Amino acid sequence: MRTRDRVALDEWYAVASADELGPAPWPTRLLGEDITLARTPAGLAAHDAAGAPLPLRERYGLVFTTLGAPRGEIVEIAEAVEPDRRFVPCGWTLLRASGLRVVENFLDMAHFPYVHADILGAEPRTEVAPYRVEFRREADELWARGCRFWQPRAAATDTTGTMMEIDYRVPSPFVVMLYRVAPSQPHRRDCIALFIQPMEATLCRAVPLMWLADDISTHTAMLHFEQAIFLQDRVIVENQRPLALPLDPRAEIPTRADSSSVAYRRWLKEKGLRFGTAEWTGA
Amino acid sequence: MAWTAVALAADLGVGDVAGTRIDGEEIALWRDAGGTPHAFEDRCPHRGMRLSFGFARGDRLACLYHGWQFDGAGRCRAIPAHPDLSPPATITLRRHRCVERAGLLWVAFAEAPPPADAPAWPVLSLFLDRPATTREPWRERIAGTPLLLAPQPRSPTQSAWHVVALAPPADAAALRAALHARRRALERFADEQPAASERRHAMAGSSHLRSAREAG
Repeated sequence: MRTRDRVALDEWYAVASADELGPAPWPTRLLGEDITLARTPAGLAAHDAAGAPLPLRERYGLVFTTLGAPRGEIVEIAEAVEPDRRFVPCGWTLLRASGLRVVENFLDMAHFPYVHADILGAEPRTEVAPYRVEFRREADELWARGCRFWQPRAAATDTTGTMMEIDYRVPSPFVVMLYRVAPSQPHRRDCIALFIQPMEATLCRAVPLMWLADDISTHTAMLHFEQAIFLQDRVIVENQRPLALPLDPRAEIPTRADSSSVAYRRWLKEKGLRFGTAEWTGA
Repeated sequence: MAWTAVALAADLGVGDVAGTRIDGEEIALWRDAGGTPHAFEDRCPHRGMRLSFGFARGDRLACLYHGWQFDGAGRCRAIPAHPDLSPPATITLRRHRCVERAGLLWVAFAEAPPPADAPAWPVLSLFLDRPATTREPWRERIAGTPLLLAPQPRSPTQSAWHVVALAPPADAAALRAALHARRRALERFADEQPAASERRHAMAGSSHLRSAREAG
């Protein structure tokens, strides 16, 4: 049943890759409701469970739709129009987890030495230095700036390790991005975005897209690198208890390293979002 | 029965971490470097990760997600994201009573006299896709070997028996075959006649209970 959570309904969601849609009906699920997509001779089409047409947008190689009335547009990603960027869509992964836990995991650096051991982090260099959290009220975005973490192998090109500098950006509750110094072109920043399709409160699909400044790696090497990382994260988000994200500050114990997570939860609470949170009661 | 057997002691070696359940309650079992077994709530208080996915380091259990370390008393002793921080004593896990007796690991949620000890030889753990019919361990002779069988109600639909021999098994292969045949018969019977099987095994359980009391 479609959620009645207005905050969740009034957003754009990526629900398919544009190149996987053909004339055959392509069923999927969004916010508790069955929806169907297809590419007809007249163009892309989608309808909800009752047969009502749904609005569609095609961007970044993805197809977006909404079950509500979004106030904002799909996030603008400046790197997507830079002609020399390597664009790497990494494919969809199904996760038996809340999409909100997936966002929070993407924002987290402290797990690198354990979940991505010897790739994105390594003991004993486990410290998370202080960083700045910014609520950008005008754009209604959440940022974590000036993040730094020791990474032994930050990208497919990196073999020596580096003190990585990262900015994180959360443009909407189910989309999360990062900008990091490109290991093979240190004057530029790689951009990685994760688009999440919340199917049920604790079931989602997610697709990472990367716009990299990397003249060296093969497309396959970049793809494999990101997929390996993402599957390591999947073990975590499918085994957190509860699966849904608690917004009550007393439910879990944060430290200073979790400033971005604390801010994200507060931002969601201010918005009044409930779908995928531990406070969600089923409607 | 306040104590529930959750594993053969021999199946949890030094440094091992495993997840189990009693009546749906998720538990992280682990054995520290000194050989002492522990049973913790299977949830890190930081971000809710199951601690049964974690790893033992010396006398501490570390969470897989962020490496937070907990000592045998459940108290957080290290937060790697802040190496210079002494974690406050308020960060302490809920832990359960856990003892090793008669070749089995036992867990209790409340105070109770520990289960009886006895020399024991590990046989096997059987996992059943059916509810437990009794909570009381019982003694029974199968394939010529005197056994202690300890049931574990895992969830409303799943249970386990943890079986040790109270004397060296006469024929270990025959014993294992007999126990597996018993499990298959129970599961088949439950599939065919769920309602009747519940009644019958409830009765069987109570007779086992009597024999256990007589034997003990």
